[in-house]
Order: sequence, then structure tokens, then C-alpha cells
Amino acid sequence: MVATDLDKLAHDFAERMQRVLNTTICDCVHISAVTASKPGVVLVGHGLDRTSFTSTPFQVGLRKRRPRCWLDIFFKLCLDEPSSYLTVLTSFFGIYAADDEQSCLCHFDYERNKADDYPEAHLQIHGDSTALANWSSRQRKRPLNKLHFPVGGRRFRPSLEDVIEFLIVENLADPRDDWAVELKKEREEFARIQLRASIRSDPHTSLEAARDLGLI
Amino acid sequence: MATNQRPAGGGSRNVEVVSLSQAEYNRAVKSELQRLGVSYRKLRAQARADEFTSLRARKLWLAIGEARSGRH
Repeated sequence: MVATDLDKLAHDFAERMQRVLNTTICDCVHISAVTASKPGVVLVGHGLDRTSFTSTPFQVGLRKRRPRCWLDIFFKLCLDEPSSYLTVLTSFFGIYAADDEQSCLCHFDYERNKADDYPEAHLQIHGDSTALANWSSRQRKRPLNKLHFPVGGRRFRPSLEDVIEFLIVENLADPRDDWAVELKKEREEFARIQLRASIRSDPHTSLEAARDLGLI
Repeated sequence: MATNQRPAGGGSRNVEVVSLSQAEYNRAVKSELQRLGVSYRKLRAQARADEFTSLRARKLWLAIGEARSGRH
């Protein structure tokens, strides 16, 4: 695949993320993409440029309304040869009270083929836990923010749409009036992408399901 | 290096795509590690121990680490 094709895929992915944000809880967030045909990666997030590969949090809020939280989104993708789809290798959705990593509430991480035993898709929560404090010090004890809560696995991990909905229903972000319609539309597209990936990874089961439904 | 801007849908701003050569990509990785004050090897050790010194270190690892696409 030539670099321009990778750029087009990167552009479309970044544009979708930007559209999801700007049609629900933000006004003019700018998402950018960095591509490198060798080693064949695409980075997408807020605040990325030719010299910075770490995303930065942005204010969540609509015009004239005071922001109540900050969001940080980042994706690393590669080309899934020969299908010409982008595959997400890693992602990060961080929720903060301010533009400061010390104010992090939680982050949803995804690391495809993660090298350790922790789940590929997981949630890490910052704060204190009475339960953890009560457990014996002889047992393996790690602070709350080091625990990896599993969240759905590779195919059914939380999407950006899920995080946006979380912010809205928990009253951490003011949404646009038509946020639910926009979110439903984008979420259905995400579900279709994941379903296609599931079919590619297990075509025999997909054929069996199609036969069960009398489709073939 | 090239920078492309295409019209964005939904009334939002244009999306910027920066294309880097391998040499530019490698320089940027080196520069990011220097800003964080850590070597790649040390950052990888932090990742393996799940003991990142900061969220920024975690995010940098997600960007430049060893994640791969192999199917299983």
C-alpha cells in the first residue's frame, strides 16, 4: 500500500473520531493523525504532530458552557494486510477533572496482544479503595489505579461512543440536543466494523450462523 | 514529510494528516524519549512491570511500544 492510501485511511479514521466528539459533547475539537509508512503505523489523537506522539487532554464542553471535564483520546493503528482495513493496536481514553494528569478519574486502555497477563482491554481507576485497604498486606496488594478491570475484550471493548455516553449520563458533560441520535449512528458503524472483523477472524462460525438463519 | 488537509464532514474543522518518513519517525521517537527523560529500554521495562512513572510514560509506550497485529 502506498503512503497516500495510508494517509486517506488515517484521515477518515481521525475525521470519524472528530465528528463523534463535535456532534455530541464538543464544539471544535481538532483531532489529527500522524502516519509513517515505515514502520507502517498511524497515530490518531488530540495534540499530535510531527514531533509529538503523546496525545494531550482537551476540554469537554459546548460554547458558553463551563467545561466540567477533560478528555484524552489516542489510537495507534496499522494496516491489516491484505484487507486494507486499519487495525487498532492500542488505544487510550482518559477522563480528567482538569488539564493535569493528577486529576485523572480513570482511563480505558486497549493493547492488542498485550505481552503480560493483564486483559487487552481494561479500565484503570484512580482513587482510594476501602476494600483494598482492608485486605491483608500478606496478600498481593496493589493500589486501585494499578488494577486492570477487564472491559469486554478485543471485539467488544468500550468505544469512544461508550465513553461519551458515560460522561453524559453521569452528568460530567453537557451534550448537544441530538446527541443520542448521533451517538446511535456512530455506534452502529463501530459495531459493523467490529462484526466484520469478527467474521474475518472466524468465518466458519459466521457461515454456520448464516446457515442457521437460512441466509445461505 | 508531508501535511495534508482534507475537508471534514459534520461542520467540523479540517483533519490534519502528517506523513513521516522512517527517518523522521525515528527522530520523533528519540525526541519523545528525551523529553520524558527515559530510554526505550527503560520504558519497556516500565511496561513489562506495569510500573509507569507517569501517565505520559504510559501513553508514550502505547504510541511507540511493541503492540503488534498478529492474529490469534
